[in-house]
Amino acid sequence: MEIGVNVNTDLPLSYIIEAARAAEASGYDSIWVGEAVEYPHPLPIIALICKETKRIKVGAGILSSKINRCLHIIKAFQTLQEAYGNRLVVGLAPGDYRRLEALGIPLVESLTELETWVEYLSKTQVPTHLVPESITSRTTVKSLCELTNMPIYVGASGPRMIRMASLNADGILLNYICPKFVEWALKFVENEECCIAAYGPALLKSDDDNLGRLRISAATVLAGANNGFLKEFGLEGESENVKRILAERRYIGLADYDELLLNRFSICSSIEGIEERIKQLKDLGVDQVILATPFWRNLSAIKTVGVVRQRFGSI
Amino acid sequence: MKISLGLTTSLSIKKGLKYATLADRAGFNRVFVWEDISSREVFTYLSIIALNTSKLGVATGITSPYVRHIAVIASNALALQHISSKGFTLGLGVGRIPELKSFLGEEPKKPVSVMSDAVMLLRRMFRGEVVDYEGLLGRLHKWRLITRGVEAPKIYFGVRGERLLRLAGQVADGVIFTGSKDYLKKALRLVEESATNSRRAGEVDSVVWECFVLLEDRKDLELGRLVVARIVSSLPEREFEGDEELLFKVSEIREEFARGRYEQAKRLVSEELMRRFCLAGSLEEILEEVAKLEKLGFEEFVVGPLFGRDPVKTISAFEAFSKDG
Repeated sequence: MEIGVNVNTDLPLSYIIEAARAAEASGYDSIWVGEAVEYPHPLPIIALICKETKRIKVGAGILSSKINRCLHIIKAFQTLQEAYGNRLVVGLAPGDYRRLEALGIPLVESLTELETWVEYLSKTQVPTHLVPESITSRTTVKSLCELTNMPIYVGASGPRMIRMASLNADGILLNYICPKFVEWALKFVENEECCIAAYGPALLKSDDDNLGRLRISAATVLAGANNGFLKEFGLEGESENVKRILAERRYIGLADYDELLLNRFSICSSIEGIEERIKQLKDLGVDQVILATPFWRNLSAIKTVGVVRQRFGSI
Repeated sequence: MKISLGLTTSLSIKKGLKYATLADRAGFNRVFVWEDISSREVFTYLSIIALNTSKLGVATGITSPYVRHIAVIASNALALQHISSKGFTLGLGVGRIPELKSFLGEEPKKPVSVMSDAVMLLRRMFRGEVVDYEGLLGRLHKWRLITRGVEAPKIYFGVRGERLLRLAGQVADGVIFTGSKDYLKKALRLVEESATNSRRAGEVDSVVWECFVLLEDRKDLELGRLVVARIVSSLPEREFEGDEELLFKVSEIREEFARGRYEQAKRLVSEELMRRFCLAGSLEEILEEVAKLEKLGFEEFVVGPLFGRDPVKTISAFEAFSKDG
């Protein structure tokens, strides 16, 4: 079982550096940089984390394949790999529906496009309709894409995307951290070789300063959840409600959904509770747990959970 | 006078980093990286350089609003400005038409309007404004870049053609010029005239990015000829208007180049043509040329690529000069 942490790019650089060093020193396996296009782009921040660490895996978790061109993502990771070696992980997904909407990007064909790219990346075959037409460009892209030893993950929450990711990618970043939801999602995995990562908002229970942020992160996951998932768990109404609250920025209203947001869409627990949750996920077949924002915002939480990292490693 | 380093993303990052580190130590002003759109990703390339140098500014030279969503350009520029100790300059241009055509599958449309909208949107985003926009660059609905006090990067234009140069004079913080020496003179006048008409006289920085070839022996000369053959082959015909002899020579070079007969193309490049399209000669001769351009009003000179047979030697040769400058 591997344990990773997620960082978003809205934090001061000095803090990102300090926390990245602390995560590596504490024995975490990976750092995943999330994308929020209204903040500094993750690519320069990924380069910064690579520069400031030595061994820890560094991934994009996730980069939107709709907002960015997949070609640029590939080339960026190839460049990072050239500079910092084989410890990079590419995480791709269509992206958050609200951001896509604000940027005027339609969600249509997301799965098919992503499937083609992931297939291309894993087999280094050229997707003819997505790569520049000239032979020269295609050849160059191909020769640059020696990514066969770089894991490609796909962020997924719905049955079709999970199935596609399991068949084509090296790993799936499941947008669920609750064992019941993960159990449901795993039904759609068709390839047992595919690495399963449970990726969700997390907080050490004593960290009251970040409780509001935890609610927003968990609500964002619920608001953007797949329709099939919502129907399965009867959460359509709750999803609509939190979507409205987020749109109106009435974050105080999220407290009404604490039972749902703090227990099922995030891990909000003591150190023992976090350990217990990781054990449950491991028993279901999860290979990696990624403690997502706002966990990273608390340096002492990173260190505290890091102290028992060795125990998690041997679970 | 400022001396800067020029790289392209087709150069491996290890080599790029080696030359940038050398330029950093040699007191160069900044590094401009041209985005070869079929090669490495320019913002990542520059990030790695920014993080591994201490006194060198970083700049795209250029990237195109046709190849990335404008919000992605903005957030990358913001991140680079954030991590770079000496600041980031966003060099923006339409890009080379043949590459763009193959990348986009069509000719880039309305370049003047696209560049004008791109600058307007980027400036608003860098100011942290909420942006609503529908136009050539897509749609933005209540979009806001969270800048958190990060200073807005400067925006330079790397463009050709009268209308784009005039636009540069109106809205850009600087212009990256490239072309024959005759062209440079005319282009600078256009930009200055336009800046003056827009009450921005003296506000537009001027950068010359020419091919520098340090000539020490015959082999350097051969290398320089090949570079010039490549340059003139990629320039539009209007560049040579009014000079029938040159136009004929260039069409011959272009034809040989298109057939992949580089040796033949190279042989057609006379020393006169070479000196017209690149700064070639001994260090003293190059510096003399640079001084002439400085008199015309150019302020910054980008060395490379290509640097000659020994890039390290070429960069080092400018050390004393860049420190004096």
